[in-house]
Amino acid sequence: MSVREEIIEILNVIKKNVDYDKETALVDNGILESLEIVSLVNELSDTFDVEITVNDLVPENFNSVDGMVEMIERLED
Amino acid sequence: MTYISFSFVIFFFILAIIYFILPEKIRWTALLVFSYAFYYLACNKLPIYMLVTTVLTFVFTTLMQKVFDNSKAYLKEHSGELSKDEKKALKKKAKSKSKAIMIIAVVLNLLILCVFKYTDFLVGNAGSLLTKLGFGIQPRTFNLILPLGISFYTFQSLGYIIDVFRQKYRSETNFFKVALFVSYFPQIIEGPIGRFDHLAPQLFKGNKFSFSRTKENLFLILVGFAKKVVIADNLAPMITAVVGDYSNYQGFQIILTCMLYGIQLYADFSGCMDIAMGFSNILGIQLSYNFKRPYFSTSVAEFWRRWHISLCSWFRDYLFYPISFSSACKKISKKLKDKNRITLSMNMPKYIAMIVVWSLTGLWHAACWTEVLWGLINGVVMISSEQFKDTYDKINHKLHIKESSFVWKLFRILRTYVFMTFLNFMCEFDKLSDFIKCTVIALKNPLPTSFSPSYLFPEIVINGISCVIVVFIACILLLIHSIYDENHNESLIKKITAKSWIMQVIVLFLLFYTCALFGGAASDMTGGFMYAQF
Repeated sequence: MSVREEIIEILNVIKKNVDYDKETALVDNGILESLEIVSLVNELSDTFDVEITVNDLVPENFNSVDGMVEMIERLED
Repeated sequence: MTYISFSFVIFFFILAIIYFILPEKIRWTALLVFSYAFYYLACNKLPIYMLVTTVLTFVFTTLMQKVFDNSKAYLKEHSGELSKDEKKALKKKAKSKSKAIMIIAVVLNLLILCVFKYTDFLVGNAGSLLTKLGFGIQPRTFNLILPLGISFYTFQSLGYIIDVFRQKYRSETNFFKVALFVSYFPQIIEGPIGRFDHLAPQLFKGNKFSFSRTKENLFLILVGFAKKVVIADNLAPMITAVVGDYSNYQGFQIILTCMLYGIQLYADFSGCMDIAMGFSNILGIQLSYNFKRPYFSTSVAEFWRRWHISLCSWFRDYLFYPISFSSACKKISKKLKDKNRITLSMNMPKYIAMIVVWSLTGLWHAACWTEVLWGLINGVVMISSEQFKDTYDKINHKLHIKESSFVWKLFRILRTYVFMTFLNFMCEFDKLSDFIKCTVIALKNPLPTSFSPSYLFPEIVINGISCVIVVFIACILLLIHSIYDENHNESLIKKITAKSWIMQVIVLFLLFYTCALFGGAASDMTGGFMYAQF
């Protein structure tokens, strides 16, 4: 499974009925609120063994699946 | 001197003239001098404690920055000689050193706040505990006077300290600029709690005068004045009377008072924010939005994304996230996951964080157990709606409730209003037992026995039936204004200022006339703003 697919799987557990493939404003449009962000960050940290800090909690990193993939790849380096 | 005074208008007029005459580079110095002058004039006390907070904030953020800079310089100088692990270890060392500095800065700043705000609460509780344990100790009360704006400027300073520690931006090297950031007068009474990266560029840049901006904000200020003096101050005597002497009122009167309290609190707090924002905007400095039409919220969680936004986002960024991502929470989450409690393992970190954050949000408002209970109820309601989201969805589905329907949305809005107003009303009582007794009276006899104005609006009607009518019309206008803003991308004020001159003058005159005629007498009774006590 690719990083992208794994992220979408996690997102679907956290919040259903969202088209994560197409959505590019998950935070800006209020689809992901702080409560969902917490679950998401903890799951992403566990799954990809990366340390996501409070500094990484900016909308650009969570607005789309692509943004999350980029953030994880950056943190893995 | 408060924002609602002729002396403040004169004060601001002088500041605006000086500000726009001075060379752009040094305009911020006028803001600093006038911010300190405002503090003195507002409470007749020198801003000694605010100065101490400023010194602590400046010294410790400078120290933290020095640690980071030295570490970076060393790494740069020796980059060829150090291995990857050695570099990591050096960075970690710098981080833990600055963490220690940050903790000291936070503790010292909180200590000042705690001494003034929580001494009597802590001493009183310790005394009660010792008495219960058999030690006959009578706790002493200190009755320390809370320095004006201490909860707001302390939290603003703490945010800056933590941001420098997180290396979100560099610390400010000019002490006087930090002093202005901490003391900026439009937000000293009731906030909003500003962020350095948002406020500093605007404060220090030296803004140009704009006629259209001034005109637009004059409307905003007058709308704020109207909310405060026409709505909030006219409702205040009824609420004070019923809360203070609830046993002399009937159930329906109590219920009506409770529901009107929601309007009073909103009109008072958001009115102050409009005034503060309006004056600040005239100077070209836009404060953070503190309200986004909270009474259109369909849930408690949404309410708190729309009400006192700067405080809620402060708690989210500096407490909720760090607790949720802490190693302790991660360990608990992992244990639950191992037991195959997947959903709970995902939710538990945020539930723990919510309980801590909401208890402290309660304590931030006032040092008493009622406020802690208020915070906990907020937290528990949000946790339960999160935990049982699927169950609620299933029930709605079974009952054939169309979630997108207007009626269902309206029901949820009214439900949230009633719940939040009832919960906030609890904090108006000195003792929780009085609130419970008052609620029992209200529930025992909830139907009206008369429809006369003196029965429905006791204390307000003393100022004449015209006062009741004006408050009613003002509330309707506020509702129309809110509905317009909710459904359009631009504010109603912007729309009015785009109309003809005659239209603008009529609206300005009506606002001013209503405030002057129907606000004066009541504003003397209530004095300042409700949130200024925090």
